[in-house]
Amino acid sequence: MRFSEYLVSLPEEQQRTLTDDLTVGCGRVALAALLHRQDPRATTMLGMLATAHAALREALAELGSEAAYGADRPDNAISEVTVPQRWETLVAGANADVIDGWLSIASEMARDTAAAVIANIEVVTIREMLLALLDALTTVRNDTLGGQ
Amino acid sequence: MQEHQHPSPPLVACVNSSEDVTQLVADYLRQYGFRAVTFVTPIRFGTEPLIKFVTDLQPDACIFTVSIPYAESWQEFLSLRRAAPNVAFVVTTTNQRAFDEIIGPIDEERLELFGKPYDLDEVCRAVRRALDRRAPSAAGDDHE
Repeated sequence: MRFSEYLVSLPEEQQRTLTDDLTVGCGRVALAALLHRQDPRATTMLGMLATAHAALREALAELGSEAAYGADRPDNAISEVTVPQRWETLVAGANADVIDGWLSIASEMARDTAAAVIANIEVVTIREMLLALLDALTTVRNDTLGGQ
Repeated sequence: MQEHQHPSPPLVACVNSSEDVTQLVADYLRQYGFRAVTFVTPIRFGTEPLIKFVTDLQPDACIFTVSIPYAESWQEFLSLRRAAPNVAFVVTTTNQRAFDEIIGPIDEERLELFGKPYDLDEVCRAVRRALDRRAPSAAGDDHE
């Protein structure tokens, strides 16, 4: 089934929620990829990535994938006590180039996923793209916090 | 010595039924150098509060989301645009295919439309284009 066919089969409220979750999830990844070069607060970046992850996981569930319920849920209880204040300080403790690379990959994947939805491809393919994107976001987070 | 005053960056109002979406769009617009404010519109709640918000604030541009029910939401957009003829508009929508079926084609040289999930870079560039072509005559009628 193609995306638009699936979408209109949902109740009105769910149609809005699904497209909003896709917008927020893909958009927050794109924004994180822009912001991280400006050395934002570490908690801002981690929060943004967690928001993206949660929205994309919701979208996956709304697309009828049970895999959404098994997807890693990042721990949002990250405070400034447990991580350095600035993003650059945080990633310096890991491998900044690798994290930079993963953020770029995740941003491209988010862009491709959004484009696939707009191009109205099969829902099963969109689910696979979302799962891959969720995995990439989990990798970014795990690599970033690996040294903590 | 006389100081040069730089004009403020354009102010953009982000209107949507989801606070998460309006906040995201506002955050992204700020990365493009715009000032941004948000307005969350409950579904089927009427346009008066929104029209008052926009006419009081007089933003340079507004990103308006045409949501379900499309015909009703489109009429709300047209009312808002009539009430704020100097504001440059960009429209987003829940489902562009449904929008096209129900509303029909719009003049995209004058009003750009983006289906969700949209590319925020494209939306920000569309705001710039809308501001560039903003003129009193740009507040005409599209498919009313």
